[in-house]
Formats: sequence, C-alpha cells, structure tokens
Amino acid sequence: MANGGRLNARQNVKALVVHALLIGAVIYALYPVLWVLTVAFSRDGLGTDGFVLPWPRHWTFANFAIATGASTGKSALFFRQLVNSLTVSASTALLSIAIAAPAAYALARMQFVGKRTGLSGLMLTQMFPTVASAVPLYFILSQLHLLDRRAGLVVAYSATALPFAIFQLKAAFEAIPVELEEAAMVDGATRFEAFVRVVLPVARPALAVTALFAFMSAWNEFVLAATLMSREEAFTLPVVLQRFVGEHSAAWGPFAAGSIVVSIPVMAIFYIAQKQLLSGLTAGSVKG
Amino acid sequence: MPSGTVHCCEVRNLEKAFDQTVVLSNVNLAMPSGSFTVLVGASGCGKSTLLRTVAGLESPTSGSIWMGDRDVTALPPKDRDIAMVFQSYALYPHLSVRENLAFGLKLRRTPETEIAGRVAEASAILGLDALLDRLPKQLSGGQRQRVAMGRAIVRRPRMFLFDEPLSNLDAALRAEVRVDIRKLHDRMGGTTLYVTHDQVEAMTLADTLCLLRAGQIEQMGPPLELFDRPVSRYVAEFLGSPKINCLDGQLVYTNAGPHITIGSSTLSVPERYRALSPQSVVVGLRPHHLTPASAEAPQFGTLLVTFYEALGFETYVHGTLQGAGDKALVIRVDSNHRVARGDAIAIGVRPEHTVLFDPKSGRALDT
Ligand SMILES: Nc1ncnc2c1ncn2[C@@H]1O[C@H](COP(=O)(O)OP(=O)(O)OP(=O)(O)O)[C@@H](O)[C@H]1O
Ligand SMILES: [Mg+2]
Repeated sequence: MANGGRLNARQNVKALVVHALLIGAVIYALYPVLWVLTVAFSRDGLGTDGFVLPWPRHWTFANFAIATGASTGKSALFFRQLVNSLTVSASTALLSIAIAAPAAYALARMQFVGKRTGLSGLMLTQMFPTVASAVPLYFILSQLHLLDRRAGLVVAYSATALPFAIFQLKAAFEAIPVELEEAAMVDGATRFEAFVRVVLPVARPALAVTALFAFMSAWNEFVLAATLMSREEAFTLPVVLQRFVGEHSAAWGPFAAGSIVVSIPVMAIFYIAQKQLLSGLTAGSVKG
Repeated sequence: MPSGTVHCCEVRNLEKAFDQTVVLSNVNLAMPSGSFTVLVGASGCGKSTLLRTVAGLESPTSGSIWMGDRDVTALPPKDRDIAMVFQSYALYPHLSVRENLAFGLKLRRTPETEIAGRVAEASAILGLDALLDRLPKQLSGGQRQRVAMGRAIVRRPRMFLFDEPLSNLDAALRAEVRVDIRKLHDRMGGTTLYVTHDQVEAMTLADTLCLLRAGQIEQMGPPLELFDRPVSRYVAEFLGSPKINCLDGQLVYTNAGPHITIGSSTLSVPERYRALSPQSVVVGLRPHHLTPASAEAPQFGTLLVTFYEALGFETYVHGTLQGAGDKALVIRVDSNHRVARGDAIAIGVRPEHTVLFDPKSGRALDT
C-alpha cells in the first residue's frame, strides 16, 4: 500500500465490515463441513450434546478404518473402488474434452447446414434429468456388453457431460479473436494446426474448467453408477458411500469419514489447477 | 500470361460479394516486385476485404489472384508465401516474443539453428532484443506492433500485407514507425500491399497509390499524380488536408478568350481545358495553391476572412469568396502573414493549378 500499510479510521471501519461479512460467509459455508468432520472423528456418531459449534468429544479414526475397509479386511476392494472412481472420472473428462473441443470449434467458427438445429438439440438434452436416461442407457450398454464395466460408465457420463462442455467451449472459442487463427494460417498453419497450436493453448483455462466440471460430475454421480454397476468390484465411491446409510442401518460415522476421503482428491485437483482456472491468458493478444 | 512482365502479385477482375452485397467489383491491380502499393479509401469501401482476398483469408466470388506466374486463387494462405501484419497485431498470447517470431518458421520445419539466426536478425533490426522472453501482454502497444512486424520479416516472404498497422499508435509513434516501415521495405526488398485510411501514410509510403471507392478502383498511380491530376472530384476531395475547395462555376468564351466565372470572380483557363465547350463546371482549387495575389498568381477574387487556424509553420484562412454567393473557401498563407477576422484578402492562383470537374458525373474534364 502506498501509505505504508496504515489505514485511516474510515478505511478501518470499511475493512472491518468487509472482513466480518467474509468471515460470516465462510462460517456459513463451512458449518455443515464442520459437522461432517465432527461425525467422522467421533466415536459416538452424532452425540455432540447440542453444542452449537460441533466438535468431537471422543476422538477416533475408527470410522476411517471402516470406511476404507481397513478394519473389515476389505481395503483392497476399497482401493479398487477408489481407482474405479479416478479412472472413470479422468476418462470422462478426457473423452468429453476430446469430443467437445472440435465440436465446439466447428460450432463457434463455421457455418453449416443443421447448425442451429444441432445446437437446439444439445440444449434440449439438458432439460431431462439424468434419471430419465438411466433405463435406456441400461439397455444400450447391455447390448454393447458394457454393463458392470468402467468403460460403460465413461460412455454414459461423457454423453451426459458433452452438451454443457460444448456450450462452455463454444463460448470460450468465440471469445478468441479470429485474427489469431488467421495470423497462424498466414504464418503457415493449416486450419487444424491453427486450432491445435493457437486456439487450444489460448483456451486452456476454459478447457481446464470444462474438464474439471466433467470430472466432478462423474466423480459425484450416483444414480447411473448404482443402476449400471452391480458387482462390488465395479462400484465407484458414491455407490460405496451410499451403502453405509442403507435401508437397515445408518452408519453415519463411516459415511462421514468416507465423504471426507472422497473429497480429498477433488480438493487436491482444485488446489493444483487453481492457477489455470484463474489465469487470464488472452490478455494482451490483440489491441494496444 | 497476357502481358510480358511477370508481377509479384496480380489481382484480375476480382469480384467479392458477401451474400447479396457486392463489396468489390472489377478490381485489377498489378504489383511489380519490390513495389509498395497503398490501398486507401473511406471506411467500408473494401480495403481490408481486398487485402484479405490477396492473403487467401477470403475467397473471391469471381476473378483470380496471381503470384508470379502461379494462379493462387484456390490456395490457402499458407501456400501463398505472404506475411501479414494485422491492425490488432494478433500476437499469440501464450507464446513469448521469441516464440511468436519463430512460430511460422517452426511450422515450416526450418532447422533450429536457422530459426535462431533469423529471429536474432529480425530482433536486431526491430530492436526487440530486450523483449524476447516477454509475453505479449507484458508489452506496450508500440512494442507489440514491432513484434508483429518482426513476425512478418523473419519469414522472408515474397509479399508483405499490412492492414492499418499504425492505427493503434499515438501520432508521434505513428510518424516514426511509418518511416521505419518504408525503410524496412527498401531493405527487405519484398513487395508490399498496405491498407490505410490515413492519407499522410498513403501519400508518403506509396509507390503506387490505389484509391478505392465503394469496392472499385477510382484511381491508381503515383501518389502525386492522384494528388495533382485526380480523375474525379472524389479523388481530389479525398486527398489533401484541408480539403480541396470545390466551387460551382461557368466556363465561358468572350472576346478575350475562354475563362471561368465563379459568381463575380473570374479565373483564366489552364491550357489543357482550352478545347472544352462552354458549360457549367466545378472548379477545384487546393488551399495551398490559393495565395495572396501576385504576379505569378493573378488575383481572381477577394476572400473575406471569417476564421483562421495558425499552425505555426503555416496558417489556414477560412472565409467566403466575395460576390460568389458567399462560397466558403480555405486558403493557406505563410505563418508570418498576419490575418484577422474581417480582413479582405485579394487572392490569386496560378492558372495551371486549377482543375475542373463535370458537375453531374464528378469526373475530371481534362481527358
Ligand atoms: N464477413 C463479412 N460479411 C458481410 N459483410 C462484410 C464482411 N466483411 C466485410 N463486409 C462488408 O464489406 C464492406 C467492406 O468491408 P472492409 O472491411 O473491406 O472495409 P474497409 O475498407 O477495410 O473499412 P475500414 O477502413 O473501416 O477498415 C463493408 O461494407 C462491410 O460491412
Ligand atoms: Mg479495414
């Protein structure tokens, strides 16, 4: 700060109010998370005796041992399910980007017959809930012999993630000045080279966001996974989690512990990708 | 080849329409090797479209583009051996200055050592050495402009295309870079096609000036030819600042021979118009040709001063021509010539500086 970091009284009040509001918002957002943490680390589940601020009375890691199968001798299975979730989500992200990027580019830059109809069609698919497609998808994948296999889930998830990914990337490509591609083509690039060497790198933040979104939707998805996967070895983590709070018993402790385990990879990815997500790469490309 | 000479680039009978709107028609343009051709014209007249068609970024509706003895009309930009500098510079934002310069060479699989050499050379010519590792967003407007030019010259193309490369720079820098561009052209020996709507750029840079009007070439030739011998009132009014004075007059013949009357003022008729029959004319008089009356520039009227602009090195005097229905007129006088509002100045012009246009068609009358 220009004045050496000292604030006058008025700025002080303003800073105080802003900080109070922000702290309030953070508490509001984190309060349920604190509950999950408390339940996960408590020996006696929900018993916090009506404290406003939840905090474990008797610390324990037992819930984590149950959630990850460590105490039931099923840790190999859990690990396998974790790998399922990771591969399915990562593949969904990659496949969605691989299909959505060229499609979005064509929709953003080219004129062709059926463009408007195609766009409306994509929009239309967004209006149906996932559940509506569960049964048809079940039959399709069963015909393709992809039931109970990760590839089946990837296909189903990518199909679901595509329309949004295409809209997202189309908007991103439209925001890139056409002149960049024209410059590349005059410089010696084919249209495809211009796409690969200029458009895609410039759109990297948008690609990252879109990929992350596809990853998350696959990572958190439950209905299709539960419908299309019947073998335990093929489960993804949301299905595993759900079993702790099944019809007969509600093992909230392991459920909460499991939720935390499931959240860790996503948090890690957000942490790693935050630079990508926030960078404004297009700044300074055109205009003085 | 219809003619004997092979031009670096030739545009033949070009027509370009977007949907139903015809943007260019009947454009014929031959650019000899090493020439500097400038396209000027009002906004929307089709300058950029013509340039982009030569670049291969637009395809013509009909007509053809030739590079040397090759018909390149159907070729993509990358196969035309051209480089282009865009108005917006269009630097690749994700690449450093060095990578921006090397981009085209890399695409063409130029050996690394040669790339390094050429980048170093271009960088030295344009003074980019200190900027090579920066990203475009870390550069000023003028620096970006130089990188854009560097990206064009490293390629050593047969032809350079510029689309208003200076319009985003401030006036001082523009004047400086204008000179640099011409020097660079002479040094690189390429052929240049340059679009601008700035007439100073047009006049100073061009070997051949090509004035477009509503998608057609109105006049093409050396800049001074367009300036001194415009084929139409449009050309005369487009070039020159302040604008040429155009006054309605009559070409009449009396016992004393032919002369032109503008209201009660009288002008003698230049040699080249002596064959014309008596008729209504538009008289074009450039402000810098109108001077206080003297022996060489005999008086033809009196200017009543309403207003003047003193620029320091010269003064533009605005006023009305006495006895001509208060026709507005601008003349140029030396800055040491003191004027005041309300003055009456006897003004003269050398006869050969008068140009005449047909009032209806606007075409010049000397053919
Ligand atoms: N892609 C396009 N689709 C339809 N019309 C176009 C297109 N590009 C240009 N035009 C039209 O063609 C005409 C010429 O445009 P152009 O950009 O060549 O003008 P210009 O002489 O470069 O003008 P300026 O000095 O403003 O840059 C304009 O009327 C413009 O509206
Ligand atoms: Mg233009």
